[in-house]
Amino acid sequence: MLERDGYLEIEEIERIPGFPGREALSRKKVAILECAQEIPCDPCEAACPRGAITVGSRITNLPAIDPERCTGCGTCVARCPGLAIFVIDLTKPDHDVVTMPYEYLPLPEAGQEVACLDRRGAMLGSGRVKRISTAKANDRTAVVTVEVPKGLGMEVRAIRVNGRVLAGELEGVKEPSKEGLLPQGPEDPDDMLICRCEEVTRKEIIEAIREGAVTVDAVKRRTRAGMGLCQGRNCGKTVSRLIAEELGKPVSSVPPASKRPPVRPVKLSVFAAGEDVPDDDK
Amino acid sequence: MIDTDILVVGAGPAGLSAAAEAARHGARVTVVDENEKPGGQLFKQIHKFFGSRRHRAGVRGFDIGYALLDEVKSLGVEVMLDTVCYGIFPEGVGLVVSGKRDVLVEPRRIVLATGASENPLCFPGWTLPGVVGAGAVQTMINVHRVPVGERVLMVGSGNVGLIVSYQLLQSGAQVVGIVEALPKVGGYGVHAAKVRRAGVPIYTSHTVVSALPNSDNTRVKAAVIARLDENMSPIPGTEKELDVDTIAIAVGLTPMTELAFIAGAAFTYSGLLGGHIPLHDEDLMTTVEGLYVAGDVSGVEEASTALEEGRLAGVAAAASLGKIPEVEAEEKKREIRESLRDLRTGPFGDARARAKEEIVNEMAKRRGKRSA
Repeated sequence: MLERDGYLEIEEIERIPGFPGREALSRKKVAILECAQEIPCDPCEAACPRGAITVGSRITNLPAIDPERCTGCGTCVARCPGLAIFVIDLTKPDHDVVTMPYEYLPLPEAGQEVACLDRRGAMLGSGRVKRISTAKANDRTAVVTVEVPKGLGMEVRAIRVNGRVLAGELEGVKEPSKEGLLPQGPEDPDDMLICRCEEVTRKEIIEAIREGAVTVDAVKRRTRAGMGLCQGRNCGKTVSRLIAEELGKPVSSVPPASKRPPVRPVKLSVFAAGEDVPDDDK
Repeated sequence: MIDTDILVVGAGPAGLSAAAEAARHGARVTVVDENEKPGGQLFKQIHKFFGSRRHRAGVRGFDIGYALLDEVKSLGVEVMLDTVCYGIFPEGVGLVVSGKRDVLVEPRRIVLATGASENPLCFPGWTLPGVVGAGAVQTMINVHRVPVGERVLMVGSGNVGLIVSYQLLQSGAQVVGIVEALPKVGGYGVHAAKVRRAGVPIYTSHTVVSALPNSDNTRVKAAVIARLDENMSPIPGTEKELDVDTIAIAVGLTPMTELAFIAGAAFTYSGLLGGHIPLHDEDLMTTVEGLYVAGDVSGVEEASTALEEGRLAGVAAAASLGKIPEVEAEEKKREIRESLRDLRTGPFGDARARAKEEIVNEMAKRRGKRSA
């Protein structure tokens, strides 16, 4: 499921207007627009020279593909900022063909064998690059056409070139110990620094709040949190959250910290020298 | 003393758009930015932007940045880099140029386009080298082309977390996973799908509970993550230890509102838009006459909305100085607001549209009370 897992299941794709339909897929090469969220975006509509893609007057409409007008030329593939358009050809007897956008280096060459991955990045087998286009109009998005094993045209959506592993999640994952204990962190959460500039710990800030310092300014006066170089730009947000948590109130109820000039560190010598001093006086 | 009509603080997408729009109508505009390079976050954005054709959708962020810079230069906007705006005073706006020169500016209008800062996430080990903000990751890999680490855990699955994960993969790093405290992915599905098909797992309802140090305490060696219950508490026994040398934090942004606070602007709160935000009207003017906000400082959204908000503030500020005939200005503002409405639609945008509307309504109510 797209929202939970970050990719579309085939059943989800079959329900969107960018899906050309099983019948069209069985007889021709055609574009598939795997665009399933109503985001404000429409370059695909203008990209198609045949007028086969329609977004319509509302810019958030999902793009629809007209399989009869689509010639499978692939012009749209590199124009989609979301890299969500593919051209697939399921009509060949001994393999399927997938045309996809590709923005990694090194680029594959025509004839090169590549690994085929599905929408989750799982390895499906090997394919062969049939064509690669780096046309200037594609603005550095290569368009790669790959022959993939028969029956996988609806599955293959990425390739791995020269064995380059991108994600590498499979190595180095350790599951929890039998006791289910949290692996020991480097420090006690209470000793963790909240204000890095002035080195104020979580414990010091919580104590200040419990003693009645319930605004970011009050915590600052008591602990110096926020008086350093960044002037609370970083820790101020964490302090607000800690105050809200301690008081059991929403963060919105914690007033913003007071700000005073200079909002960036300025050397006193600059002010001492007065206004508009030429460089050579320094 | 610098003599200018409009001072824009921040040379990111909102600030540069505001400057371009105001200068186009004949206002003298000065943009200041504390960084040595202009563009804000735009030059870190190597991916293609969403939106419609009029929002330059499909164009990569840095190319939008170059186009904007060319535009402001050709319009004669003065861009002062390495220039800190340290305060807004009754006498004027205080600037320090190159850490040396104190300059006072008395602009007739001010546009604050100061952006947002990343939220920290505190867990045992969070101060170890190797725990970095996602913005810093982008600066390193996309601007300076320096690897941030070899194996990275991303914390947060909003668009920033997803996009930076993808860029990490492009840079040659391995992303071992993305953890998300909520039960569903925060950002756009298409961004999630890109990293998923590369093999990156997304652990929803999970959090990072600690970072483990290497033997000499100089670097992260591993991250411990755990599943969360409905009350957002880690469930004992569900921990996983992941071998990583980098933990990237992408848990939201907070508007950088210090200057608006100092100028005396009234604030409101919107959790959805990043916290305490200067109240503003539909021209993006705050409760301080002549002080405008645009982009993330007026509520955290996206670069595409920042570009449009900048234009709106630029037009409004220039019009208030009489640089644009009223009818033309109203027509322009209407067109930009419509474009903003387009960007704030759909399941992701609707809530933002409502939150922005509430701010404008609160402002109108406040003005009503004043005049009554």
